Amino acid sequence: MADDGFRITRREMLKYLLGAPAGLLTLSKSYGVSMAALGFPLEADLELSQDRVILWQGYTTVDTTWRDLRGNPGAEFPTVQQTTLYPLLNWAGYKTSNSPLNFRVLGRSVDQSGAPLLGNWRTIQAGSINTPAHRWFRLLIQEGYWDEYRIELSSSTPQQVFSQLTARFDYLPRSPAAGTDKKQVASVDTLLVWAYIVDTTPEKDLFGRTSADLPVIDHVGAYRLLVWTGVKRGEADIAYTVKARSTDFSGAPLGSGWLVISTGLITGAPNSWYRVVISQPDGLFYDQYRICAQTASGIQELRAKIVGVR
Amino acid sequence: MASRVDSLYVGELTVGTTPSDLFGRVNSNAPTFINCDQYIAFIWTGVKSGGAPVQYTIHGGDARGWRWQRTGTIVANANEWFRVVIKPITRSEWYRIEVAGASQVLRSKIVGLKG
Repeated sequence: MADDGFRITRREMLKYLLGAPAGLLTLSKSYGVSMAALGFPLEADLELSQDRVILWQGYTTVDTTWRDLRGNPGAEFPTVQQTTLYPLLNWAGYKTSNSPLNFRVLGRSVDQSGAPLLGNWRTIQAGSINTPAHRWFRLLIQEGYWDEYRIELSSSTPQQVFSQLTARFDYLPRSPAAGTDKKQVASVDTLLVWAYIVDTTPEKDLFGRTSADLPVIDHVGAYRLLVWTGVKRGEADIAYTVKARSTDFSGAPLGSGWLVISTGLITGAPNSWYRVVISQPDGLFYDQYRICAQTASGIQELRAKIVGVR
Repeated sequence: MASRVDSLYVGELTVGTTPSDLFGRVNSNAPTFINCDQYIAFIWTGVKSGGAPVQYTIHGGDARGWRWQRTGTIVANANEWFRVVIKPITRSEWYRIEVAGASQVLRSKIVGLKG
């Protein structure tokens, strides 16, 4: 990477962190920050480049109360929002005590208005960071495409923790033949947000229809990956089937029926989050999908959001 | 909106024992697609009307001739869907996709995956 942006020494960095955390936000992606200058390890995948952005950086004092990177103990509040675009997040931090730092990485999805599908969270990762005092650590958050993340910390002994949360996004391949020589970000689009009462009827799609030829999502041939997240409100497991097919240029399917590309079981306690990644080697790129779900017993509400990754 | 794939072909072909490309041409020098060196793979989906397997041959090359070829078989019951991912041995400007087999109708679509 070319260090062509704003430079800052480690001493200056600590001064900003201690004196004006809010001011750190001015170290935005538009200026770029040399990770080497910040004292971070000089690993290629840690360096800020054009495909990596800072989501948040600052510090907080951690004690026995779970609080997020910003110091907010309110479990309802995300640490970062509008993160759907990112397949990978990287949390680099610096702890000031030898005490272990307990962490929980949480994620959830939101609807079109920005409200979470449910107020609680899915635990993505949890553990303890045991590096000695005054050492950098880092954690890769590989479960991407959530709309909101909350990273919570606690420690038996109060200590300050400096953090920088960055994210990476993907580019589409350049296409000089099509006159688009400029790099373009691979966008992530919301395809469906829906709440549905699931019952024991087989072959019932997410809209409650049993007509086997109807797609749930259509005109989606540009997506290599679908990420289906949501909340199951009941106890029983939910079996799902994802079917796909292609259409001609008018949008009509090439034939009736479907190709089954994924089946599985959504498990978990009532009101727990689930995440289903629908993918195939070399990408999906089907034009239509039909997604059916049924419970093993009883009925329950299933809240769902499906995003497509180009 | 920019995409990782381009639709290259949507069509219907009556497959027979004589190898022909997806446009029904039997001249083995005729390319099915040209100007394709930006694609790293092709995803071929469709429906076949018969239960017999369909043999396919992919030729890659350029105006000077075919450089490599790869063969395979599409296996699916009558009126069922199939999906084949074609990964070229080397990126090529020209491709010829030939099919042959017991008589049946093949309705299919090919998208090119850019990379």
